[in-house]
Amino acid sequence: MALWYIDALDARAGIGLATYRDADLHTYTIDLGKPAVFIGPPFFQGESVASRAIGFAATRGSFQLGLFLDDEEIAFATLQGVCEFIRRVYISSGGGDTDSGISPAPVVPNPEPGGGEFPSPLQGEYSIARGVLKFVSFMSEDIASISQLKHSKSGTKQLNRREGTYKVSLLETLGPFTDVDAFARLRKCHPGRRDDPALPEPSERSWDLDEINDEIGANADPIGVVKFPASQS
Amino acid sequence: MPAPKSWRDKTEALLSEINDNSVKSYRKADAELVSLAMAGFGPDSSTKKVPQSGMRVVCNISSAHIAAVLTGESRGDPKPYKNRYDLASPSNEPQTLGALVPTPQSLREKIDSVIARLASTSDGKEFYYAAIELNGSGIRYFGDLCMVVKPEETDANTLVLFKNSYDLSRSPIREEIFVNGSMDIEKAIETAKELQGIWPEDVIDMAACKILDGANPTERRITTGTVSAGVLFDEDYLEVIRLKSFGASSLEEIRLSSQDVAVEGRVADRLRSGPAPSYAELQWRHRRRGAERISARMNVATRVVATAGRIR
Repeated sequence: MALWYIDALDARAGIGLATYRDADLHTYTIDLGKPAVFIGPPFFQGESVASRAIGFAATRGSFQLGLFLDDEEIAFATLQGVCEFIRRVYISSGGGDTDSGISPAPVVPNPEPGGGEFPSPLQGEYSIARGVLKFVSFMSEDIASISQLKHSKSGTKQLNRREGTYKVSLLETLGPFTDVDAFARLRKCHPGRRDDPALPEPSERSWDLDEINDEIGANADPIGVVKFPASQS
Repeated sequence: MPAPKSWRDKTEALLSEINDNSVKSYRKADAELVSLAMAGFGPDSSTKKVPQSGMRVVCNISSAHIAAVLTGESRGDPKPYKNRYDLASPSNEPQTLGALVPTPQSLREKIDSVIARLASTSDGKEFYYAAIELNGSGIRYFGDLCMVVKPEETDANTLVLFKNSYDLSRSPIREEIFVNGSMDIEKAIETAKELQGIWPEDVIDMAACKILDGANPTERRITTGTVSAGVLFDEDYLEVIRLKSFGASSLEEIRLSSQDVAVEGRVADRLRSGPAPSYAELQWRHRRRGAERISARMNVATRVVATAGRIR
């Protein structure tokens, strides 16, 4: 049965030449005319070569001939499997592993529907300000869902942390930050900062840090952990 | 008409097959250009040789192995650049991932025996295969670094083959020398003799034959870039069978392909500004940077081949 087999492999260099064929390296009837591919770093994508001759020529240097285990050639069902094997061998020669990168990842069949790559963010969502706002919003929601204990009538929440227990009105503290207009006003208070065009225009009213602390409730909460310094003159 | 014997005769035979006299005059001029370029002269001048230009013997190797080659001499290693036999472990078995091939590698042994007869040696254990290159960066399938051997470090009369010797086992030569599925060594030797030449005398005409064989019948001159690409293109090359190893002192330079350098720069750019490159990409770049460092330390220049047409 024709499968993918490795003709030549330099494990440390992560270079291999593979062929779609029957297992034949241990026979006397090697056919060099079978379709062959070259696989190498940094992308490990199969590239067609004219014949197996280049792979056999490579075995006169640093390449080993074939890949055997228990007297049998190791077969791969797909070309992607060979590419991934060589990639892992290459990485194991250095240590560690990770995903992503600038090259497309090997196409691995996805047995579950709805999987695949994460979509790229939409064009308008690259704004740093929007990213921060999203992060704060997610964080406040997630933390609130982890551990919330009603501590007092004022609605102050107690969060368990390794270092100790704090009484923080976090939702109230961070809540206004999820308002784009408030964040834009906050930025307006820092002289020299370039306005983010992705943000809406702030209101005409002038703000200072005391006012913002008032707005986010930091001045009202005696143990609020998020409080901006005094107003700049 | 008797079969041409020398490579000069073969070049002349190729030219004589052209019927159109005008086209023939262009191809004759091209053949002269190939000779001049391979010898290291300008394309239309044979009076002044350009320093460090012309045909070279090259070996490609991965950046994963280059340090061992370049530091071999300083470690007292008599064979810094190793063939498969040199790479054998103390048990005399080559280092492999997985198990060894369970039966004798008959094809390689047979081809090595054919070449050994041409090279007047006993077997293939002393063979160090290389290729002829002009301005390019070698055969990238064997490694990303192209080691350029100094011309004087290759012995005169070194065996050169018109193609990869494994092509003896590939159609259409295969049909001529295989009998009942097995290689007839004597027939193979006779066929291989038609492909042989010697360094440096025959290489210029071998290159001319290789380039003119596929040239278009037009009244347009070829360029030095065409010559460089024609001498070694992709996996099609003139094979050199050296009978001795070499180290850093024998190298003129190490060439890097511009494609690899571009990818290397892109990995670095992604490392700086994201998305983060993969570990494999970082490891590849790390080893290439290490290769350049060790090359500098061993006084071997590295050079990026921007275009195959340039002389240096």
